[in-house]
Amino acid sequence: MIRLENVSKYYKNLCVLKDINVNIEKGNIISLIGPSGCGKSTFLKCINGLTSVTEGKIYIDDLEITAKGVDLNKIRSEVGIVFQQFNLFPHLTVRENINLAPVKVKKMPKNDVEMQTMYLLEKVGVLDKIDKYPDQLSGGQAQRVAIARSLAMQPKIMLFDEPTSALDPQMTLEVLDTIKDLAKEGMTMVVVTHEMGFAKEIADKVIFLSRGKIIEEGEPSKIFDNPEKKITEDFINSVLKH
Amino acid sequence: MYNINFDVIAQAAPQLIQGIKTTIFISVISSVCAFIIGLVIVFMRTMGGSLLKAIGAIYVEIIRNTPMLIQLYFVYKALPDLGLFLHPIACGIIALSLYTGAYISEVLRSGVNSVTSQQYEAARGLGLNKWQTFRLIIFPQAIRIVIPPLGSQFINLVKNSSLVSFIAVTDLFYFIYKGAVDDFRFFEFFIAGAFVYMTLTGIIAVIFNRIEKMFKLHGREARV
Repeated sequence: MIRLENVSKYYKNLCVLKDINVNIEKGNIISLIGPSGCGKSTFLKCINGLTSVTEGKIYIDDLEITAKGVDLNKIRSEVGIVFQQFNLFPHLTVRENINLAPVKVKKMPKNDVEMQTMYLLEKVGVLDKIDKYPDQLSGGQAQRVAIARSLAMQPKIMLFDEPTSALDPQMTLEVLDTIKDLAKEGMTMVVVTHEMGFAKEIADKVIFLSRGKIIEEGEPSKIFDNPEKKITEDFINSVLKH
Repeated sequence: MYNINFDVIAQAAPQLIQGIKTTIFISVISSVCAFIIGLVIVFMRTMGGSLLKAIGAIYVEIIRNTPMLIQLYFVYKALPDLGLFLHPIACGIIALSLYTGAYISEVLRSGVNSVTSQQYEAARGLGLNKWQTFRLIIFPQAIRIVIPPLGSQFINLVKNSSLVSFIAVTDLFYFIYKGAVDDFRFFEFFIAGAFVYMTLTGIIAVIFNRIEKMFKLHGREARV
């Protein structure tokens, strides 16, 4: 479903991603781990075209999104992304935050959008906040609204960029539960996370990234319990100690 | 000892009122045009490609690094050499709009720059195009931040509009000056003139205070 072929990304001379080859099947859940600054966020931004790649090709459903003249707005509308800092629009209510893209980008009828928004908010458990503004929400609520906002575009794939790093443990659980529900429904997902237990539980595959390179990838049990490389082991130990 | 006598103002009132009307007319039209110019320039400079960015930057630098009086005379005296003859009031409106538009674009740009890049990413990530992102996400947050300095720009515009009297527009300043010179009543006419300008700009200040409160009332100042 998503295929990255020899993807490299440079900012001027700084290499952020180097020769990345990844194949993600429909319904797969990939967990991306690695130290900060290793290129995880850039990896996600490349997949939905928020960042252009320097070399290599990315395919979504056999459509090369790195080709010239591709309608990136359409691709972005089909690939949902959820950020560490939620990035809700502070001048809009929860309802308006979620309605915006389906109405403006997908041109869906207003009534359908309203129904869908209510349904999604119910699903992530914050329907009672529908007419609140983002600064009236807790972090966990805000992140769940952000997830609903992405889901409103009915994406084929969801990308999560450290969705719980800015949250306290209680709120982290709320958000992880929401993501788990999505996993059960068969959503294809790429999740950047430091929640090792969570990654172990839901991921089909774990990719360990360091300095822009894929160091190791495989099933969670293999990566977490029997990593082949020393650097992977060191990283996992350092995270688990916290 | 000079005898202060404000009766002369009352006698000149019909002319002054005519001047006030012209000043208001020029100011209102120029304000709208200047705001539109400011919007276009700030969109070019923040969302455009490198060519649009450069054009916007060059425009702003030319305008704000040259005296407005030269710009005014350029439109009034130099354009006719190119075969473009315009009414003096039109010349005044064009010069005022171009001048204030450059400053407004700078004010708006500082607002746009204060909206975090994450907001931009979130909007583009949902599939909104550049124009939608600017119009629906970035601009509404930016404008809330820059309402006070924006008000100052419109106040400056009203005051700068007095320069159009240099190109034979019979605005408020023209009649004040004429009255003062005709009657040798500089003190009365300039005091009266200052008072009228203060009233006009005061109205703008009140309007902008209202707008500021209105945005607060609708909750949520932009939190970034």
